Amino acid sequence: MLNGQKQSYFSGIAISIFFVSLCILSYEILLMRVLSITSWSHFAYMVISIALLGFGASGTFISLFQKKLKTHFYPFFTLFSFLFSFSLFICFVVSQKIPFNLFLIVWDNLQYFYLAICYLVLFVPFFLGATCIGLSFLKFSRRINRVYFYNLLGSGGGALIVILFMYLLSLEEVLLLIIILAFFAAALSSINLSGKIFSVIVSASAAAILFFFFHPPQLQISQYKGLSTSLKLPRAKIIEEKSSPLALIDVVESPAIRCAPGLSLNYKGSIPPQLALFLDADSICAITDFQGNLSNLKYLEHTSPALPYQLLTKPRVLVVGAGGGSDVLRALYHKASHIEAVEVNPQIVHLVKEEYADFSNHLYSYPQLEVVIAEGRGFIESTSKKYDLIQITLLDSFAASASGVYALSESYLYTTEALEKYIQHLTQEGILSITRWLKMPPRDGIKLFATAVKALENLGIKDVSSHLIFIRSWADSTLLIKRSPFTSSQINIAKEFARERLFDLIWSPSLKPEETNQYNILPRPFYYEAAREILFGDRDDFYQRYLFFVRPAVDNSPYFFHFFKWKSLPYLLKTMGREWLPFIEWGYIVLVFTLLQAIAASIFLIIFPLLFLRKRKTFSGRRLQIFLYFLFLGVGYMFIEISFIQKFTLFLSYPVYAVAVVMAAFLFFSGCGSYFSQKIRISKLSNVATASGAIIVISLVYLVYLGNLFIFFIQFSDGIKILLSLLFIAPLAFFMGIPFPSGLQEVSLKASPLVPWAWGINGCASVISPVLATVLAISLGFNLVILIALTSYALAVICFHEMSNVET
Amino acid sequence: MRKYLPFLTGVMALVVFFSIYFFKKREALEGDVYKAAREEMVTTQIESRGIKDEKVIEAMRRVPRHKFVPSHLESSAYEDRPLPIGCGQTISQPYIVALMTQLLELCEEDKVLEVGTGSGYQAAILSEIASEVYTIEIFEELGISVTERLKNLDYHKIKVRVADGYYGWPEEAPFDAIIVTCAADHIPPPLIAQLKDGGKMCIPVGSVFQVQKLMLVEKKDGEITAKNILPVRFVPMLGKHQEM
Repeated sequence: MLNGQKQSYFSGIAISIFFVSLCILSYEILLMRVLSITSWSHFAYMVISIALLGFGASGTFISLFQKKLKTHFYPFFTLFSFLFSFSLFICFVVSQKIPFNLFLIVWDNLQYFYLAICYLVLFVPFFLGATCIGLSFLKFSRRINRVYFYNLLGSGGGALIVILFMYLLSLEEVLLLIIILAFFAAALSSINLSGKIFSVIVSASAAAILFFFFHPPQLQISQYKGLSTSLKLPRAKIIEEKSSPLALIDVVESPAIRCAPGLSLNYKGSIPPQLALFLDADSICAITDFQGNLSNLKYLEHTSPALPYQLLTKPRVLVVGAGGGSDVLRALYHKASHIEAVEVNPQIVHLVKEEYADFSNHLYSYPQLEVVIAEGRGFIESTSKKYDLIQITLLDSFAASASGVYALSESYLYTTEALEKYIQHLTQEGILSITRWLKMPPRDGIKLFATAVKALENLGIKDVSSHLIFIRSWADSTLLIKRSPFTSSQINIAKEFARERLFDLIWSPSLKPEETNQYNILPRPFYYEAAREILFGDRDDFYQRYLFFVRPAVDNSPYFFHFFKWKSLPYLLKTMGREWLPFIEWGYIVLVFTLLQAIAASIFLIIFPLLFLRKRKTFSGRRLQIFLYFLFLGVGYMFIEISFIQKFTLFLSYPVYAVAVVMAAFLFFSGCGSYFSQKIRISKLSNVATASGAIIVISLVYLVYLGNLFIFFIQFSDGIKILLSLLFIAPLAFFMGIPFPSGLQEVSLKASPLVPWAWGINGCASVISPVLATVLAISLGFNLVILIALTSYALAVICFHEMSNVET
Repeated sequence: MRKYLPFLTGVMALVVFFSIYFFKKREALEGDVYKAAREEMVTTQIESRGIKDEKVIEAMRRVPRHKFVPSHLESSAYEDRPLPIGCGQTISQPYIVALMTQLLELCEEDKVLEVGTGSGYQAAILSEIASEVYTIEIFEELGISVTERLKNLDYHKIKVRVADGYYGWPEEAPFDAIIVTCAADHIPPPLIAQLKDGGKMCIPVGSVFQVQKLMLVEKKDGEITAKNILPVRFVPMLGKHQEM
């Protein structure tokens, strides 16, 4: 074959690799969104992690049949890319039909079967797509760096494009576009085959696309999600649906919709008509038709977040998480002089401001109101304004909160550093008010109290106890943190407010034990006892002995919703039974379960091909080094990527931007690193050693200085912050793109049949690592995760040199 | 052909006879099986967990729970778990049903309102103790099927209404006891208003699969108090002896 022809064949395959990689990553992110909507986010996490093991399995598959696959590379590549395109649709449709329900798994063994089917079905497209890429590594062993370049470039493009698509189109439409791109990749790869095959592939692709277009898949939302239940209410219907990467918003109309969380049992009036806004088919907030008459909002005076308004006169208010406007209404009702309402989702603001402006009585256009589209923590970091009241009220759904679904979710809203920032943005007499659902057994409120105490102490406040008032209704709790001590008249007003509404005092300065636990009676005044222990007792001993993890959350480990403690497990199981556990801390249990099954599946995928490759004795001296090298690389790469996504979340404010920008930047610049890896030789050392050294140095510099850089640049516009993020990530990611292709090149030179196996190891490590990174970050923090990653890179260098030194 | 007629008639009669016989036998057998399961449920799930009210225990013994669950789940009806009944709803765990009923401290002459009929099982238990039971179901699909079921099982004391339970049943108010079995983020003020002075209201709080606490609202001399009842034993602190 002529060199020019070879080059043209490679170019066609390279573009196909680009599109297949793009489709794989877009599909993964799309599936995460879809499963979070139809089911719950932790289920999505679990299923996708396992499905991604399709990468590992592809390595096994290619290892076993590499001779045949390599000889007939072009037809096989076309076949797999074509099947991949089909599977994107078929597997999506089938996954929506599986009647799996995570909440039933503790009782119903049939659910394990459904779960296995879920894994299997969603595994297929990842396996087929990864096989295309793995095959290319095998075939183009001399151009591994370029194959890897197109692979990473495509993946980076996928991360960006899917987020963009999700802003513009519905999820079903995004799926169709991904499928079109996948078919395009298949058709492109078939150019290298006979004209007849090319025509067949093109025609079949066109027919399939048309079929999928006319038969779009339907999302099957779990019947146990709030949206499904609400739609069965009398005369209930969805009157508007908006989709974005932030959330799927459904506006539901029904006369039976009433949203008044934790309303006092003493309230005797009515609630004005409301429209429900469901986010991802679960979390609910409401748009209220108060008919422009604030007296219709009396019910808001009978909820626990109304307490700070009794202590302040005409305050300047910052509402974090404005949603449909309940907190804004509460502020208006209590005659706030100025309200700044921060809402992360622009579509919610648009709904209230435009589509339902009449229904909301033009709430978001009130003269004393300023609506800001921003994430709460990011906003407070970037503003210099001061407020009399900062209010954060119930930003998550009760059901999800109660069952620990959010345990995996990082939240920079409730960390010690966040609370310090809020307090610093208060006027001298200002109050920070945070309302959370009341969880049983008690843990959420206690952790919040502990975080507030820590934040006040960090700010140098001496008598912390006099700066706190904490009350609870039957459903929620509201904590007030004041910059200066509460006055005795304020304390008396708070007590009277609580008494009239049958709310209990958990903490207030000079509170007597007999004044607690009076109206919503618990078997013991658990909250009060905990508050006393945190303020005046042996705090560390209390944190250690409490049944749940209630130590304050910090930015380095921002898991406010994580309460699970291994130490308590036997006791919890003994006293509460296995059925209770999932509903207390689902999220963490699912995380650990995901990690264990990913490790088990990975071992199977790595050990299994080795048994078949045993005959090839020539590589026996190298297997361990290859295994460890690609394992360390996978762990190192993902640990750094995941940690930096977290760190940049704080900087870029929006988690979804952070994920898209950081992921795309890492993949793109790593691709560049890979592309140039064979062209540059910086020192006498191997490229792997040089690159790893650079990774370690840059990461350590970032570990020390990135926080300061963020503080310096945080007030800049989003566009500049994104550019800066790219600039910060570029050098690190560039070097991170070098070790993998260099290693694969070395393997292809000295033990080429092990190339697919090495690809599989890296695939498995890349699946295990994000889960492991989260488990470690929860207990150790992200800084330590980065240090582990750097150690992995150092160890990888040793393995590489060992691998290179073994003679063939 | 005619000469075979008596023979065919005889065979058919035998088939019919044995069919009825086997069907009855199976029914009786099933009845026995479920009765035994019910007995076991009462012993292992109800009495052993501290339910002391004899009226409640007797009601739990009498009401055929398997008739209130979807047919494919009949065999699981007496297990210690909630079961899905459609419309995103569940039939509560037997212990929770018993605990809620016991908390209401019902007398024979009491008038009870249930909001959220679901399968009708809780209403059936209530009707074994109280003289009048009113139950409201908001989901039409469930409301229709439960009306039929209660009629078939001869629970004539129970009045079912398909409506928005938020407003209660004002024509029949006040009630000695109210059970609100559908989750809401607040307790409807009209229901508190329809509770008789000295009456009790019980509300399970948690996800549909797990009641995490029971709210027991009491009205005495116009004053309201709410008790949080945890259905499991909870001691928040690990003592040294409990640490692993």
